[in-house]
Amino acid sequence: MSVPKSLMPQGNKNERFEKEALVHVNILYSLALRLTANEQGAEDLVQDTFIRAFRFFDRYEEGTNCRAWLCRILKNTFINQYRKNRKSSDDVSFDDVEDVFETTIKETKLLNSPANPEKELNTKVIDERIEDALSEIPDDYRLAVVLSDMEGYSYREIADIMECPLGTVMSRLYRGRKMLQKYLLDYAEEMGIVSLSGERAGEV
Amino acid sequence: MGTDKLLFAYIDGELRSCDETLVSDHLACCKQCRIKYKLLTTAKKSLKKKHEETLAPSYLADKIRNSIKTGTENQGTTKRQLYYSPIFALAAALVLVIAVAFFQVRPCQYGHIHATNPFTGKVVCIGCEYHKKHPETASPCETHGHHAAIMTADGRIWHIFPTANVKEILDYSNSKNKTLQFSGEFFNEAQLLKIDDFSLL
Repeated sequence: MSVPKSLMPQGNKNERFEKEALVHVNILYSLALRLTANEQGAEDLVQDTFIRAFRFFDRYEEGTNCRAWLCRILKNTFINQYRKNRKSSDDVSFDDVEDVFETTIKETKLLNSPANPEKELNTKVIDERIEDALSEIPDDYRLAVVLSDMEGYSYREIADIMECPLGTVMSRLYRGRKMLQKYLLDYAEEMGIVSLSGERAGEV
Repeated sequence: MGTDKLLFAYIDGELRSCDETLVSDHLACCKQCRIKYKLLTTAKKSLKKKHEETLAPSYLADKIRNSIKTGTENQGTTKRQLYYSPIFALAAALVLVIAVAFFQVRPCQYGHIHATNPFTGKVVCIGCEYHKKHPETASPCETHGHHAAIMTADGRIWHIFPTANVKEILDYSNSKNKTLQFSGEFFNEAQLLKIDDFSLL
């Protein structure tokens, strides 16, 4: 029933692009900001993403999720152009990291911590630190976390955007969140909210 | 490790309701998991809030509109269509070869430059270059193999007219990324380069 794209008047393309794609500029900028961790980089990334999206706009099927389609282009643009000089998950040997994390979390001695640590891990502490924590984790994991937590996409949708199997999304989220968790717990320990090591707490 | 995966899936709303009950029952009695739960849901909420509050600089949308406009103007349709399908361009080159070989047709003078002074270029793979420009498409080299082409200093990529004397260049495993000095004819319209003489540096 739909009109073939080739038969659509060319002038329409700009209007449709404006209405369907460009309205998401804030969302893409926000995601780009978390991926590049700097404002100039985010601006460039968003601009390149939209230029590319415009070039391929004929291939976008109207009525489908334009925001997710843009996210996919953002991801590809980022991987190809921007992440070369940033650390990727390949640089992290997860076997080592996982061991450390598991040990750290197991050793969390909650009995030594204040009476109600749940309450004290308050929003303010996390609000302050979450962006730093996020910037510490490798790109692939960060992207999965950002798409899940910020955009609220389901695992299936994230798999489509990241163009990887569902299992990969789950393990990237798992690893990314483990890293966030460790960073935030370390910070909470610095603040004296929880104690991560019984011995150290004993000395105090 | 298993419990953490369950906990994350619970936080993301990805569990079936029976599994959800399992996790919420466990949370009620396990303080350690409760802390993780609290930590991660707070982090999730915090990120969502920051996401909603982030605004792109006000000039960005206009900047994008402008670059789209100039970008569209800069790209001639001929060039774009040729980039669109390297396979199509190869087929076109082949037709030209046959025409020249069998019908002794002299290529049209229009848009065709004879370079007598040596030009410098680099041997690149046209499939890889195409894929770099359009990463959202599948890499043509995975199915068709690499295909040598010449990139001139202005960034344009030229198909190589496959005469007997350029075998060395067409063997991409040998010529990959090498710099090349050559003389020959440029066919602008077809983005085709007929090399008369060359040396690989």
